[in-house]
Amino acid sequence: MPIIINLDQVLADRNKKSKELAEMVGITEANLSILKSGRAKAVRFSTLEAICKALDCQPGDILAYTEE
Amino acid sequence: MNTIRPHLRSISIVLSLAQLYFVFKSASLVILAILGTSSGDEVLVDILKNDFFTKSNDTPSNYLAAVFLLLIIGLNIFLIFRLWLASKIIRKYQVGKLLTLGHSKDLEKVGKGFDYYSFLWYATHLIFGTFFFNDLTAFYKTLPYALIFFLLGKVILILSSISAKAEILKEENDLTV
Repeated sequence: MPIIINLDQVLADRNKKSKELAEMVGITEANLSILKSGRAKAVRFSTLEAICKALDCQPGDILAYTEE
Repeated sequence: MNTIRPHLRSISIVLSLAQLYFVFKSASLVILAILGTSSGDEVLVDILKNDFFTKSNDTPSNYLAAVFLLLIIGLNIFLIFRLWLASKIIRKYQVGKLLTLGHSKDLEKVGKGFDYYSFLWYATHLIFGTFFFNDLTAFYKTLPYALIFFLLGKVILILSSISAKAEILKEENDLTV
């Protein structure tokens, strides 16, 4: 998929673990893993908002577009 | 889900009874074919004339009658397997496993199976009735039975295509974070 998820990078920059983020956002670790691995078909605005709030970042920090 | 549970139970019972019916029917036809062909005279032909075709003066050989019975037995066994697959799908529904992977494929197999069964069953009766038993009534006598399975197969095929679309939607929903 040309949309890539940079969540691992943002998490590492903020010294946070996936488990913590999942708890803060209110999604399961399994769903967070789906998002991180790029298997997700869609991301809800509410989830994106919660992630940005929890990590104090912009959507562009998490999502990026690359040519295939 | 609770509203369709009684219907699923009744469909499951009917499917089990249908399987039992076709198993016993096939077994009785096997016995009939063995006994009929082992007795030298045209016993089997006489039985088939009474049970499957209207009486005529033409007397096909016992061998041809046995071939007809074997074809019918083969079709019945094919139908039993498709009925078993249909009851497997219903059992999955009963435990709440809806729209799982491969579910639409199984439905498609059942639908196509019913269609093939109806077509082959009608064709077998038509060919043997017309050419060997001189019974043209097979054209309309066997039609209602064949039509029921044909239409049932088509309805199941439509359900399978709806199910395939639903599987895609469910997957998208499951993978939406």
